[in-house]
Amino acid sequence: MRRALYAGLVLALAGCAPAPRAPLNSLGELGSDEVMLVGRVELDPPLRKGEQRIRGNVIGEFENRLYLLADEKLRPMPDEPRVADYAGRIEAPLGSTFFVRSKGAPFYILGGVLFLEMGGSSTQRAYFPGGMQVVVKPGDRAVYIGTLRYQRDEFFEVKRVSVVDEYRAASAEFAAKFGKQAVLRKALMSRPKGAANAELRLGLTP
Amino acid sequence: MINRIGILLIVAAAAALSGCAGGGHGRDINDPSNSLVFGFVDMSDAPTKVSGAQIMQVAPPTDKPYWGTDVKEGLFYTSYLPPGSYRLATLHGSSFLRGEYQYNFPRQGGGETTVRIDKPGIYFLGAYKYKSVKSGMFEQAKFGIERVPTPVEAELLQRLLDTDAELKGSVWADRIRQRIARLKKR
Repeated sequence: MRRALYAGLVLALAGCAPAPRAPLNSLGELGSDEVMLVGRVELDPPLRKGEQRIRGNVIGEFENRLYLLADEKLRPMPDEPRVADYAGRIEAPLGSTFFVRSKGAPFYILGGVLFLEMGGSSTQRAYFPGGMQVVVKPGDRAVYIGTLRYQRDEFFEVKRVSVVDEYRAASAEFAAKFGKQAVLRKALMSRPKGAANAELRLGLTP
Repeated sequence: MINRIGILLIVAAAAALSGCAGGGHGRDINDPSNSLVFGFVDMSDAPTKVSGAQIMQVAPPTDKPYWGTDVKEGLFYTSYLPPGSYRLATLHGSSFLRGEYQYNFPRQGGGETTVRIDKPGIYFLGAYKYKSVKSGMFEQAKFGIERVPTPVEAELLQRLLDTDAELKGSVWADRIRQRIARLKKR
């Protein structure tokens, strides 16, 4: 009975998952209290053939995407994120630059979730550390937050986390997409000083 | 201490368990590049016994990542694995009253139920005991496994020789005996 209830709940939630930070195609789409975030997530080595298996009718985009969970408050990444924890996520296409809409206020990246298997007999996820602060200032329209690079092994054990400054390339991509007049301010995500974040227990340093 | 937490599923059809019997993807048991990988799980506290186990090849990439194993009273093993990285992926079992069960291990994480095979040999994943894990009303059922000191590697290898005629008639017989002898010298 309990398993039947769980299955029903999963199905119900699949259709009403909270919204992500939406991709943008134009700066004109931004509200006065919003900002565009520009960044990237990379796996090193990248996903190899067969490492991610998304099958069947799955609602949402999961292939080659790492979900960055975000919150206005710094808190440990939940061991098993609930549906509400996915609100305001960044659905980062691995190895490509994302351009998403965000509230014009600082926030934290709690960690990442990569769906490895869906649509089969079970859902399998890999979790990635976070604890990164994104600093957005009043007046910002577009902010470059860097490339979040996860070095990992074949078992998806994260060996190192780094924030890489690829501003020049991202800025060129930004200009090509949104025009040369638009200003992209660099504000790399970083670990807040003195934060006792459980996600840092791996001893990983940006 | 519970080493790994997995997800417990009731599966509707035995078809979902295809590939659970021991098999070598067409490889010869005497292929010199083979490795013997084995382990043990005590399922006395589990809803079912174990009748099948699958090992997943995580590297190098392959279209057929799952390798079936033979299972005998908790002892699971395959003697066909080529060099690569592997993890214990699933256990299967069934009982008349409870039906079919599949015990899925998490994809993420190394640890003792994974192995990197650089050169052919005998690799012991360890002996474990099934542990129940409480989960919430709306959560997927979970289980854990805990490393246990017995049965020891030499005992399980001897059991392989005593119960598997194919293994005993292959190149593995001498290798297993040599391994047992080395373990007893320790």
